[in-house]
Amino acid sequence: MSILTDLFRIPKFVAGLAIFLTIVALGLVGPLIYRVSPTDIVGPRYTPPSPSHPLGIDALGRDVLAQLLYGIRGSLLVGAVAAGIALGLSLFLGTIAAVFGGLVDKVIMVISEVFIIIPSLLLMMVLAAYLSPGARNIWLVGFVIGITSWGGWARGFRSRTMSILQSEFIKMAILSGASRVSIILRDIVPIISPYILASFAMLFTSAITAEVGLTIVGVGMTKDITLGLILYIAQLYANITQGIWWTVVPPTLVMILIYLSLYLVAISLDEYFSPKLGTA
Amino acid sequence: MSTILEVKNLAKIYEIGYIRKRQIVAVDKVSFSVKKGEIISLVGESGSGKTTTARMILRLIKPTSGVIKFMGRDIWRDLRGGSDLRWYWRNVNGVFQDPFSSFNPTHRIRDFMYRAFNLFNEKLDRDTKERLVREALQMVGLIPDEVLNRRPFELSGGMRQRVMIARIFLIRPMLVIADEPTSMIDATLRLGILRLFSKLREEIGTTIMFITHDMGLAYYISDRIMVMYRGKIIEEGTPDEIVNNPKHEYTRNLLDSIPKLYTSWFK
Repeated sequence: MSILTDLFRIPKFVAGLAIFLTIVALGLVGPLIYRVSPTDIVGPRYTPPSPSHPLGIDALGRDVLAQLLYGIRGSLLVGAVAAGIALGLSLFLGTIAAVFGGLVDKVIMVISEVFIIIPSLLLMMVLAAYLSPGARNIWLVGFVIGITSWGGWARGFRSRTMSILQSEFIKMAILSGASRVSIILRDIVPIISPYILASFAMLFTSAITAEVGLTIVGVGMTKDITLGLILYIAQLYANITQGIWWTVVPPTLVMILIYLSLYLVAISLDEYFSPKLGTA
Repeated sequence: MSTILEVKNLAKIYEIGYIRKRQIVAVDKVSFSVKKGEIISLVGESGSGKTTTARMILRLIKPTSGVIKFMGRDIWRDLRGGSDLRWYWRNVNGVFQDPFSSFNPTHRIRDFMYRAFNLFNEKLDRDTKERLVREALQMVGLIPDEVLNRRPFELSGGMRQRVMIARIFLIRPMLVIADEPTSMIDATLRLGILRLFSKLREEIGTTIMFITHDMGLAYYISDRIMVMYRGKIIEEGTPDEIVNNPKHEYTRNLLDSIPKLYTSWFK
């Protein structure tokens, strides 16, 4: 528990976590408080922000704040599902490959190469062609993005693990009868934990961006609202060139804040843990 | 005295290069035996293969050829599965050269010490474990309450080396391979660390194999000295034999290189 109390003394960490949790809270609680449906037409298109519609109305006559709140929820879900799947796979397979070595290592590396090559776009197009529109939901998009983005990180975790395996303290652990699983869980994971969190932040943000990309091409989800969908509609109706900022700036700002907050958390963790590694 | 460890024709050859293969012979057909209860030193310069030999005996590096027998069992052929390995490391364990990199920076000293209980066959409850760890730390002159909850970077090099030796007091192995345990410690602390090894033998009856480059240290502590040069053991004998009557050219150079009082360093 002392690690947590130490971490809460770092301003960067507290700021990052606070921003991120605020956004999460907005996505979870926001729709319950601001009870406006994001799909209903509530007024004339492009009505600027006003007390009744705090973020104005978009190209299709819908309330932007309601869209944003539901969009945050949708995007966070895509990010969490994709990052969870990708992080789980890459951490598990990367460390196993490094620690067990030999044939296990070779097989895992070949599989990771295959998944690095498969683009999420292609997989999504194939799935979009065969699945009914009803089956194309946020979970599926999160799953597809997750399954196609773990390969590179698995290699990253593998090389990190391999360099740690060269340390004397790993030999000491072996001499203390530690099993391979214990070496992964107790020696390697704590040391690469800042890297794990940083990779989670990166996977999270890249998943949110990847979802925007898929939506723009038209193979994203069809019914659920995400930040990507808001931006997609905004660029479809050329809102930026018309100076209709209220449909573009809020979702972009939220995306930047998600990235920034997770980045702050990641670097403060890195700064907290790595001085110890360098201590002589 | 019975033989506890027997090394026969032990060799380690590293191959480098893909097209034009080049061989580096780290250890070249080394044979020796260690008797129960003795302190034996393996002396040699950097790159002479002494650490590789130590790592092979600790079963951390696989030898290219040769046999290492501990209590009649070939450690690379007869040990199968986790319980055999735990038995081996319960009986043969090591102290490493570098007290800085031998500790996981994220572990507390308590975690480091507790991990050694993996090697114990007997099931111990928490209180017994805590008591054993505290006793071991007291043996090496550390105050348990001061170090147990610390992380390694909060301790000095000397303290960390003592913790590593405390781990040996906890495991109580029959054979300890000490790979340059004093080389990274201040000269003022060396004698204290060496006394701990003597204490280890007196109190637990441990056999100790010292790996060192310091002939003075080897002379001070050993019953028998082996001199290693370019992967081979070139001379073997009691400290007095080696110092008074060195047979090999390299041993003579090694002895001359010990700094002495009252002699000019610049001839």
